[in-house]
Amino acid sequence: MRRPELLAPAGDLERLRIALRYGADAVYLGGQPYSLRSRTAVFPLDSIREGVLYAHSLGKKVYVTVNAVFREEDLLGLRDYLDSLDDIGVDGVIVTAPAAVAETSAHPRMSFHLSTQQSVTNIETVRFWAKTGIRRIVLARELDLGEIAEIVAQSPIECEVFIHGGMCSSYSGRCTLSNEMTGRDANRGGCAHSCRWTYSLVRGEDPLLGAPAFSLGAKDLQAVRFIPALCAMGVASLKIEGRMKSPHYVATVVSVYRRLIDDVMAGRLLALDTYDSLLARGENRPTGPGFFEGIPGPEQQLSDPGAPKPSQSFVAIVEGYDPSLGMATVSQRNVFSIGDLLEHFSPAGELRQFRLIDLRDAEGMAIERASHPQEMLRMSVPWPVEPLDMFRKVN
Amino acid sequence: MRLVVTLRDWSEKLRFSALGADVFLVHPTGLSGLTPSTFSFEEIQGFIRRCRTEGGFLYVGLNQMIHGKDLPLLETFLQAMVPQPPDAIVAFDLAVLERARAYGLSDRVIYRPVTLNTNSRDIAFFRSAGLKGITLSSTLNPEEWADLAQVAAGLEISVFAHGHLDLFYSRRRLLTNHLMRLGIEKREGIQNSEWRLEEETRPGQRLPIWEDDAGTHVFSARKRESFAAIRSHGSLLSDAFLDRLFLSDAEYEAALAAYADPRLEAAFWRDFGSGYLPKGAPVPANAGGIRP
Repeated sequence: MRRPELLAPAGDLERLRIALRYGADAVYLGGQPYSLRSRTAVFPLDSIREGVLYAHSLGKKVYVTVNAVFREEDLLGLRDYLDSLDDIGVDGVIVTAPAAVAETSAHPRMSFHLSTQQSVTNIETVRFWAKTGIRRIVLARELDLGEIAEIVAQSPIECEVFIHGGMCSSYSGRCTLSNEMTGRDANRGGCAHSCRWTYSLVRGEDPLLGAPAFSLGAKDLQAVRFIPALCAMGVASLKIEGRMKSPHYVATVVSVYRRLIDDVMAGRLLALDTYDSLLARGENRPTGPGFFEGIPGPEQQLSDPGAPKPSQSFVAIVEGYDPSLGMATVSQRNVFSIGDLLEHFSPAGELRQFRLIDLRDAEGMAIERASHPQEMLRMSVPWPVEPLDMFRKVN
Repeated sequence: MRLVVTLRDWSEKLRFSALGADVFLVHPTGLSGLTPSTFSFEEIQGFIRRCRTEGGFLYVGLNQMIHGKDLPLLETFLQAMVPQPPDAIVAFDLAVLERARAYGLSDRVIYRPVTLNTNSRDIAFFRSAGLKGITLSSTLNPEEWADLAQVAAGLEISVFAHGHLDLFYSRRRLLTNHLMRLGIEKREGIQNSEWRLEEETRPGQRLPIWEDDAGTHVFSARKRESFAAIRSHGSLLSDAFLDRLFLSDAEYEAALAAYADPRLEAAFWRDFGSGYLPKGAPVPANAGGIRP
């Protein structure tokens, strides 16, 4: 059985390092000019260079999204930009527009991946794109397991499948709802997520009075129970969505899928509930199986489209550790206090709990409560910790 | 430039011809949605033969995403079209182009993905792929149509000219799922043009929603019209598609007539103009060159 790549999102350099440290084989990130997350979570070229150096030092890969649907004015500079990514040593680019696909022959070293924005749903469309020099297809998220297996078995190029995170409710790339509702171009980095807004349903001229709100939105995807099958069918890459998500989310989700894939490959799979419960610690949105089991029913629609509250359990990330004092230097991410039961969470995967007994500010003054976001603090930890390890509060 | 209209049944062909339609678009059963009716492959072959003798072009629209289960039917469809190929196969999914190559039909394919096809290099890419033409993204404006059509160099460029814009296409059964939650019969949501969505902060702005076997679509509240754009740029374009979903027959026919004869545009604005303009906006001063 071929070991699939675990591909994680990187919204910035910190999350890039976290994703790779917590077990991703590769990360994808948005370049500044041509990404679908054009407003935030984008990397200038210098940061891409830094990320590539870091990833390659670990023997891992970086892919850059160049997946906007280009208008004429976007073409100016596209070749130069791709040349720059090539020079930096980016391993691959994720593209949507045929205008970008046409650049494959000019950049033979880089792998061109066709974005899910092209919504490829069948083997014949895979064959069309394979002839253009595309080396990997990110399959549409609207496929069930049988459809994926059928495509992967016949595909002349690699197939990538989304396994976790937010789902477009529309076929990706075929939606301009945001354009209509806000004037923001969904296919050029401006998606306003209008599908998650609240609508009422009207028949003829009459609103359905008393009816609950209508949402076009979909629950997030969670694919723990489908990973063994996806590994068995030979999917080349398993992809996690979420370039806008928190470091804790990235660390949690990546580490769980890392462990799960490794367990599948080693033939030591635990009860799937074990992975589910670990994943739940990083989740803050309702999840479901997406299309893996077939066309989703009513229970997969986001019936309460209100904004999810971020998990408050993630409290600090380690910046350093002084073994002589047994004190970690941490960056605060949520409120915590002396006496809290904390869980140490690290790329090694082992979870250990301890009661916090000593907490100090940057000047070394003892404090009772860490309440300032991003504040640098020192805290006692009963065992050595490493940079990018995390602490979360146990309720 | 040819005006493309969708046929609900063959009896409309004569009337639409008289109103100025050049091309008649029909949809095959099992490979299309978003249409008032579909036809068997045999019926479509019959329509093609009749167009050959009576005049007019016959296009066949395959306007849905193709999944693995649809591929055998696509194969059968293409085989059935070989004896009398339609003037064009208007395809939403590139699988159609890929398989059409095997039957020598790729030069009949117009790729119409609704949101894609947005720049000159996309055009160059598809020109080298050997198809008949592409339909530009519905997000482009008429000046962009003209700019791109001028660099098409042999690839036919068509546009979506009239009707509600298709904004959103999901494989999910969004409407019937919601109706089931409300205890309303599922069949009430299938191929029923009565349903609208209204966003809570935009009262009165009602987006048509449509569900069929291929999934759920949401359309723009305001209808698009392109009378002025077609007058200005029509000579650069190959086809202008006039969509009829959610339009009454009278409105559809009035629109067709006004595209074919600008002197009839004022009458169109008088009778149907309100659904095409932002709230409170005046009718265009140059509507058909005649003030309504």
